[in-house]
Amino acid sequence: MGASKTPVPLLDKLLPSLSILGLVVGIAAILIAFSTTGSPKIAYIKSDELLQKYQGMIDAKAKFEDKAKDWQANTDTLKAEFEASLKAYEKATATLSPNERAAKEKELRAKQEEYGKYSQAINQQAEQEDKKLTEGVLAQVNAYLKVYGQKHGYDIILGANGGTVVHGSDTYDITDEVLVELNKQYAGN
Amino acid sequence: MMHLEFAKQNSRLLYLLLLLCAAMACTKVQTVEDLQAYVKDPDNGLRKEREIGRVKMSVTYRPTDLLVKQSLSSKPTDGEIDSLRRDFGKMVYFVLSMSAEKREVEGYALPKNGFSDRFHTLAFEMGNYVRLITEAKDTIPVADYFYQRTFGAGESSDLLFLFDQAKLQKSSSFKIQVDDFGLGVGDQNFKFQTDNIKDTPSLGREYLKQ
Repeated sequence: MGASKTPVPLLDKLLPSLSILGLVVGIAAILIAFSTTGSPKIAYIKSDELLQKYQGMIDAKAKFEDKAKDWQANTDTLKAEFEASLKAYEKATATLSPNERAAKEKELRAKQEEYGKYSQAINQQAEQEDKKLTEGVLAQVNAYLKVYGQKHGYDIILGANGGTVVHGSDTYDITDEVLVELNKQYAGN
Repeated sequence: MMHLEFAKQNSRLLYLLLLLCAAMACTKVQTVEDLQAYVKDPDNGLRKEREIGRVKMSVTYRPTDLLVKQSLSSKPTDGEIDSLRRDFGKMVYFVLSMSAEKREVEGYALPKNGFSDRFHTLAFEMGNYVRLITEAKDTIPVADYFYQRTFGAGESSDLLFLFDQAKLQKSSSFKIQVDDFGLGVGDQNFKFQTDNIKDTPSLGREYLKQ
């Protein structure tokens, strides 16, 4: 007569299957979690192109150039006055007494100094004005990008400029879309 | 047949009455608070705002009747109301409001010792930084402006600008342009539709007489 087999509890029979089922469910849950939370929504803009085509920057540059023309005109006037005085002095120098010559030279040095100081002051003013206009435009663009990102659900918008984004698929380039809306806002809409 | 005719006539009358009521409701508001609420409602296009970094700017149309109501004596006559409406009606009024972190902008982004310059700009020079540009790109300069000082107690710096009303009539839209006078926010444009200005309701005469 043979030995009788011990009955295997149902749970023990099912355990391998349950384990496999559990593993499958676990993997599925992880995959679902990844697909729902997703990776961040990222895009990039070509910063240089955006700034070049942004109407606010175009207007700011035009404004600066108008001012620069005025400054240049003033500088040119001072320079012309000095050169005219110098020519007049050179023409008349033979006929001048030593005292008169000394007085004229003093006058010329003063004019030259005035021209030099004015030129330096204008250069500094131009630099400050350029900085002010550019900073103002950049503040507008940065503020708008924040709004744009929130409106369109972007987690990150990169500025592709000088190597920051070495390669980017066109799919993620939102320069044109941002430009349209940025220019609309600048126009007051 | 007769009762059908009667019903038709009555329904026409009712329809006309409803139209009249709707029209009256559209052109008049009851109180100053109603008119202010109308102006603040973004759907009415009388207020434009912008946020640039830490600075908030807004330009809001100020209806003539609000200024009239402010200027009326107690129990004014019809003549006084009409006279003030005529006088104030020659101009169009806008309030430019600016705040930096919920404070006035007098002290914001100042260079060293710049407070007096900033105050001078706000008090006397803003006419050089603000203008109205019509659709045809004509520039309407500031006719006058008022700067309301609150000495640090306010949450914003507010200025009331006046522009010549007549020059706006032919333009279907226009923008108020505010140049950057030192806040570092760049030049700003705030666009308005002329129809929205024209459609602004007025205050009832009986209310103005109170």
